[in-house]
Amino acid sequence: MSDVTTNTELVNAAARGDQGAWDLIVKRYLPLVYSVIGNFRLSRSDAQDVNQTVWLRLVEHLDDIRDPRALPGWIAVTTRNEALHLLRKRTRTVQFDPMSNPMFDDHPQSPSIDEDLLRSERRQVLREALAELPQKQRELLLLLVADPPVSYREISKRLRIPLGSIGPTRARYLERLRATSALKVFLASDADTNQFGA
Amino acid sequence: MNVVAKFDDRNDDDLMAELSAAVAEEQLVPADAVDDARGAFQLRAVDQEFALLAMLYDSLLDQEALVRGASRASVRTLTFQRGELSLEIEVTDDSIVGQVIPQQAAHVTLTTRQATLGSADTDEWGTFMMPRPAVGSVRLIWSTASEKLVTDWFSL
Repeated sequence: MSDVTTNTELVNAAARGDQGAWDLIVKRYLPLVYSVIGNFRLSRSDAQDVNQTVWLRLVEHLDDIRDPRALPGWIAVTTRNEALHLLRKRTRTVQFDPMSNPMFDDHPQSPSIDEDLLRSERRQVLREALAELPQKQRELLLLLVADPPVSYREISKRLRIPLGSIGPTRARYLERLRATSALKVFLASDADTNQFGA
Repeated sequence: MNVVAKFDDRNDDDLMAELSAAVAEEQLVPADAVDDARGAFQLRAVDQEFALLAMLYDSLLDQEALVRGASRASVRTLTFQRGELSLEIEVTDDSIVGQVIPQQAAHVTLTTRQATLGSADTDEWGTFMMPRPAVGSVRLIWSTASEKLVTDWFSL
């Protein structure tokens, strides 16, 4: 698979039985599943059930996906529905205060699926862009965003680059990141909605 | 759009912040979730022998039923369909009761990815009943003279 493989190519290959294509779909959209799950207060094992159900169902529906561009939307909605129903099941059995309405109280701030999708797609593109960079460039950027943070001094030591050059190097590598095919394709396909601020 | 459109990729600090969120998002995914998601594909070979009844209705997701208070009752109903054939099930705290419509003589099995949790024969009306297992991703499988049938996965 090339650096920028479309969902259409991935879904078609997976439908023909290509495990590698399936693994790429998983890599691309598993963070979306977990970011949607993160909107709900689910236990770790409930989250695991939701995740499993979503992927099992996708396997069965691979042949029915007429427009693979709709894949992230399908994944997000299926995840939300599964998470919602587990949540309702739990709140139904653990209801102490009859005056409160757990269904509405539990996720009043939950952002819309559209917002989840846009944010998650952008982040997925950034991860793919990062994967396109040569190792040295990727390493520096990853150290700079590490959590917990890594000091410039430590970065300088680990990567054997002068302390003073980290700033300028970061700027140069970010330019490279913007020039990756993942980012360029995304910016081009999204020019009308201006998602990446280009 | 508001929140999403604020980010400007031409600004280095904004791009770094977004990159940081992107990397963190992937790190939030537990390792066993990757295995589960990848492993789901292994069922594809098996699944191709089966005709799928897709989930049409789940009372847990029915907004109107929620307003009416129906889902507060301890019965959950699910409907699966494929063409003329449908399967309705009612899940209570301790049992699963189902009906195949139109009536079919069948041996219905409830399975997870790894194991069979229960099974039952349909009666003259196409109905069956089995104990309800605790939790998990499950589906129902049965065979007729001409085809093997399977429902969508659902979580108990």
